[in-house]
Amino acid sequence: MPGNKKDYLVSYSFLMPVILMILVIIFIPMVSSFLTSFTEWNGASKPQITGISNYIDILLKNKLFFKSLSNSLKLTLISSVLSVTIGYFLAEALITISRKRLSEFYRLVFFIPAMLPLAVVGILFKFIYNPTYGLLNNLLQLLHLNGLTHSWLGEANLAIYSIIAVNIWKTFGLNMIIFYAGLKAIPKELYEAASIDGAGKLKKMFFISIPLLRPVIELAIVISTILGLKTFDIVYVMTGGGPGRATITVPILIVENSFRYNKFGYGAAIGMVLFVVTLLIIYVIRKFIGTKEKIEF
Amino acid sequence: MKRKCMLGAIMSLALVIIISFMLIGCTTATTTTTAASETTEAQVVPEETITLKFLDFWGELEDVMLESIAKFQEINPNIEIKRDVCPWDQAETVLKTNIAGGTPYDIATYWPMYMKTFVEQDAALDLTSAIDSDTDWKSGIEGLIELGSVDGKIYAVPFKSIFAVTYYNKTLFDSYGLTEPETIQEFEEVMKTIKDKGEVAPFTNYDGATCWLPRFMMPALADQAGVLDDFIAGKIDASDPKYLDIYKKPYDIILNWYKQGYLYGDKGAAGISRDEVKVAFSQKEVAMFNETTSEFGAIKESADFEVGVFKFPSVVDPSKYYFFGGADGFFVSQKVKNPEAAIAFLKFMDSPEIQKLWLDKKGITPVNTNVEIQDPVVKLFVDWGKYIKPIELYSLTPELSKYMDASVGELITGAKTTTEIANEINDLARQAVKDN
Repeated sequence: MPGNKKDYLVSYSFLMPVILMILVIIFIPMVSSFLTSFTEWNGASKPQITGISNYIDILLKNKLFFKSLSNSLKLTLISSVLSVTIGYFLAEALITISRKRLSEFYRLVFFIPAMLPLAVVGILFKFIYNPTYGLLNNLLQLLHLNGLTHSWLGEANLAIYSIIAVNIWKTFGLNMIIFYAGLKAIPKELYEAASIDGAGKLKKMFFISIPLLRPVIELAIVISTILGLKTFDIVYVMTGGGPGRATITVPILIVENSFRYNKFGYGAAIGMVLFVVTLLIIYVIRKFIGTKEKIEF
Repeated sequence: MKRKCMLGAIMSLALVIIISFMLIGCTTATTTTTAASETTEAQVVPEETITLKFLDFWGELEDVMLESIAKFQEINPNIEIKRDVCPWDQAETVLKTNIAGGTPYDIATYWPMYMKTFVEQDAALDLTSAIDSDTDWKSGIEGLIELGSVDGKIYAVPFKSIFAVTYYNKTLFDSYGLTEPETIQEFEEVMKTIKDKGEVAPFTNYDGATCWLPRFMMPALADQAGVLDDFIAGKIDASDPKYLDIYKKPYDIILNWYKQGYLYGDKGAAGISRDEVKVAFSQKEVAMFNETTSEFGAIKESADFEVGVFKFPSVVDPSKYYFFGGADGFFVSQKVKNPEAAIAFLKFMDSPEIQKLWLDKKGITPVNTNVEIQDPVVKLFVDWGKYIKPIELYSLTPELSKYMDASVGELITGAKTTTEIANEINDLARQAVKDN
């Protein structure tokens, strides 16, 4: 435990490289974006200060912003809930596999989608969803389910859900690894004691695993939420926000305003609004799922 | 233990100092480069190796592009062209990201008629004097030179003539006894016949080209109303009932086609990718689609039937066609360190030798009138060049372009009505006029 000034100096000097990195890579761009959001800037000439007019326009006049926010929230909510749930149950299933090699094999297989670049996943699923030569429609036809074939990315009411399905496929592996690590940390004795008391698998899950994994569940949901709200790559590659504007998300709107309309200030302001929305959602998640109690085994 | 801590602390501080110096070093290096470039602009040293950063969005034409660059470097050994490739639909974003980041491309492929956005950013070099002083270059590309003009100055040069036409399965047309339609009414009859036969879908456009339909029709309707120039300039207000149809009628027509089942893909008609459309056409799943003239070679090659091409039918008068587009071309960054070298590359690409190379190898319609053309379809394309309207309402502002890009999708998916779309296009046009 640091006792004197010299020790403090030594401790902080160890932290300096990281502090400097955080300043340069995160803090300065954030402040810069925040300041840009109060300007009208075309990316080349001198920015003009316009006060809060960008925010007024976004919140009071821009219907497309609310459509994109609605899509982003829909994508985040469904993806997070299903990805966390699938990840949890897979982790529970894997933990029961006694053969180490087999367990490692399944962990690797389920984690592969999480390792793939988002753009690659987008392109891959674009082929799978292709209405003419795509795997999905051909599979459905093979099973004589022709009535279920669709233009998965071309139909407005389906496109966003098709993207959400890909997002879930991409992220459940990460959640599985998080839960697997959490479950591994729970002492076996607790389950053994519960077995002696006559608890079945479900009771063990609801009265041991889930309560003890609360901080891990919170972490998984927060990560999934952040990833969901900033989803850009998959949507951009798969639909570009279309058909029409059916799958536009907030990050796509930011890029569109900044780089297509040369409205960097406006784009930064949308980014700031998204940042606040993200903070609010995380606050709500932490309030309802998070725990202040220290969980000790 | 304490010594170890101290050693760690010293190493950490050293790392901080190194990072700080690196950051300061970056700033110093930039300043030095700027100073050096100013010197270079004043004193052109031909022997010095010049590197030009070039963004190319014609990735599918890589072999002929690399051959052209090699030929250029053969006669200009001191100029190195460092080429990056990006998809055409990301070109604007890539270019603007690099401009905003302070590292613009020296040369880029772009559409000369849409240069306004870069001119407004002071990101494009004025090429007027370079072109005016070179009569061979200027006379060769004279017909399309105005495409790259903004406020009387030329900021981009054309390289390949490109505009939208309609491709069709000629073998199928012949077997059904159909002829090329010249009016929208005839086009609808053709689509009805094909649909009734039930073998293939009549017509489609890829997602990025759905907006081509209103872009074909609107100028014709404006011309019929006698207000074409004002319409293109965004001065025609749709709130005046006599002009509402210019904005609304094209969407009514498209919606009717969708309801009649003429469009390939049914509910997904507005979300078909470019590759899907080409595959659907070559697999005889769709009879007609719109594409650019530059795709003719590839479309013909992929089909095992005869491919025909016609001008998209006129919505008013068969003698009046409206082609939008014009050319793909090049522009040079305002911040290029060696403008002479960059301009030399542009001139070389527009030379008859290179234009002929692209025509022979890829069937690309040349912009240089001194190139001899044999292919009857390419000759047809050159002839149809007279119908091109390079300036259109669509390119008034990026917001309007983006809105129109998505408009047919919004219509087909039921997100917007024809009246809403007409009014919103009108509002964006009004805003553009106000801003200008």
